[in-house]
Amino acid sequence: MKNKQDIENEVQQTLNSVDSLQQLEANAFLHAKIANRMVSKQALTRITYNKLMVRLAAVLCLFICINGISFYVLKQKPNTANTKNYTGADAFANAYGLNNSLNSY
Amino acid sequence: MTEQELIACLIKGNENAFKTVVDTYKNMVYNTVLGFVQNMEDAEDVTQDVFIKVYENIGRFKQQCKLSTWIYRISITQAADFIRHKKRKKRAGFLSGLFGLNNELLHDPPDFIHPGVLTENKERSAILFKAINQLPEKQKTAFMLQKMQDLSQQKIAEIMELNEGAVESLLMRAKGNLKKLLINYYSSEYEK
Repeated sequence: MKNKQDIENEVQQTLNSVDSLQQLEANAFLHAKIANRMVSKQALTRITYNKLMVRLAAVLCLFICINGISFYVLKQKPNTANTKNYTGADAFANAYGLNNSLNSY
Repeated sequence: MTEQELIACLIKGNENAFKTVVDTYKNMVYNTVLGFVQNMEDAEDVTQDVFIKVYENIGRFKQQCKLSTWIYRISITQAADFIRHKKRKKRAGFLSGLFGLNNELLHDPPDFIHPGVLTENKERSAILFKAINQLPEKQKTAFMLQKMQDLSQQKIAEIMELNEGAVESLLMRAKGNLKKLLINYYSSEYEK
């Protein structure tokens, strides 16, 4: 087992181990690589943008279709506002066909 | 071409100005990033990201500091983001591994041996890099900039947007923490 002084020395040497660090050279073709990456990034952004636009257009079409169908369906239905004012006498007349203009002389 | 002219050309989107910036600062960025990410391939990818960021954000550069200081800041931020992303990926990978979602082999990277370290110091530097990774982020940044880039406290203060006193304190704490970590490491090694 080593003593405290040995450990201190080791620690100091370890701390100094990167003192004479040699600076490395970056890739010589770095600019070309960056340019290439920027082009592909732009293309990717364009594709993503186009995809987003297609999806938005599809959602908009769906929304318009749903609205159109709803409008058509609601227009076909009898007006519930008129049925609201039905009285008991009207219901009776309806049941016995008394309000049919063909049968009234 | 002065720095102001270079920046003006860069804002206009001049390709030659961008090439000049890349060629001037590529070694500085690469060496800074390498100290943080501790992997040569990753360092090159992050270096590319840094210059793309420079190109995209040059319009926001207020010129209150030197261009090199601004590029240093981007390099540190990008490297820190990369490390965070890698850690998150590793955690997610561990969880998905637990639930059997993929069969990707996950392992800790081997000890980083900086290619610029002298041969006799390689083993020691690997131990030091391991200890540096355990430091809090600001201490790590200040220590890295001083040791790897040989920057003055004034320049480090400028890059980290702190005053010199704060940087001095960060460096003192970083060295103190590293000493503690290394003492623990060597004590346990000698007990074996």
